[in-house]
Amino acid sequence: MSVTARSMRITLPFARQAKFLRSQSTSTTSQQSTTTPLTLEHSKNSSKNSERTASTSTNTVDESTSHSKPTYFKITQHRSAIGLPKRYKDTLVSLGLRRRLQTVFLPHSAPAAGKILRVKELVKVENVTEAEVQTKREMRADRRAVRGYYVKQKFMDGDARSSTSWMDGL
Amino acid sequence: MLGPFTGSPLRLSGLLWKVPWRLSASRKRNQRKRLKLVDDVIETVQSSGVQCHALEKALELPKEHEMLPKDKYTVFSRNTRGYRKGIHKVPKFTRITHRVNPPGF
Repeated sequence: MSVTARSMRITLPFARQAKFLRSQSTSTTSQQSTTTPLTLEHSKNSSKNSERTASTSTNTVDESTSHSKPTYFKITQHRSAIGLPKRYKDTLVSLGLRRRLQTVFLPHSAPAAGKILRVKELVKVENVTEAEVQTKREMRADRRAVRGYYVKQKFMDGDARSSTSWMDGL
Repeated sequence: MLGPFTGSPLRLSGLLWKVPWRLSASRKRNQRKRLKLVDDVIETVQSSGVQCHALEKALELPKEHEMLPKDKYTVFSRNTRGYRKGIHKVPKFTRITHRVNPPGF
């Protein structure tokens, strides 16, 4: 991560970093993930699971135990800091929490533990593995309802196709 | 004596705000629930294996099942008869940690 003027904001890239590391390990099974959008989440999960079981059977014991050991805090804010002194509000900001029921992932560290304990009345914590770390987009995708249809074809500006070309393959 | 929330005698056509001197059974149940949630947070941080000064301090606090009901629902108060008052009289008592009182009170 290069340090630029834009990246000087308070951002927590741990979830994105974990996602990048996960994508590196599942790059061999990327072909399986390009299925119809309706079942994208299911196929993604199944490909991940199959990859994980395959890896545990073929790889050494060390890799499987390191993947199963929890190394992240999953922190959810349950109560606000309204009316509390500034140090509690600042601690929530430093954890990356902006509102109630927001979830944030932080790797295990003494500073992170200290921050959690300062606002222990306001948050709930869980120890999770690196594989369970989710970015904001992934958490939102999990909450989203599955649509009863999928888009088979889109008609972009400039396409010379007819409106009935979707029937050609049927 | 006078002020927006102090309440004034009805004879002076003032309004009345009643605050019970003790917590009700449901309030006590919620207080115990909150104490257990904080205990869970401390336990989770402890089980993570990370070591820090804040954790050492937090582990010195008594757990909910180790506390006397007196400490769960009342706090030390130097100006009150009996030197104890209801914990609900402490501002933000649902979001702060107050488990230990001076010994002997």
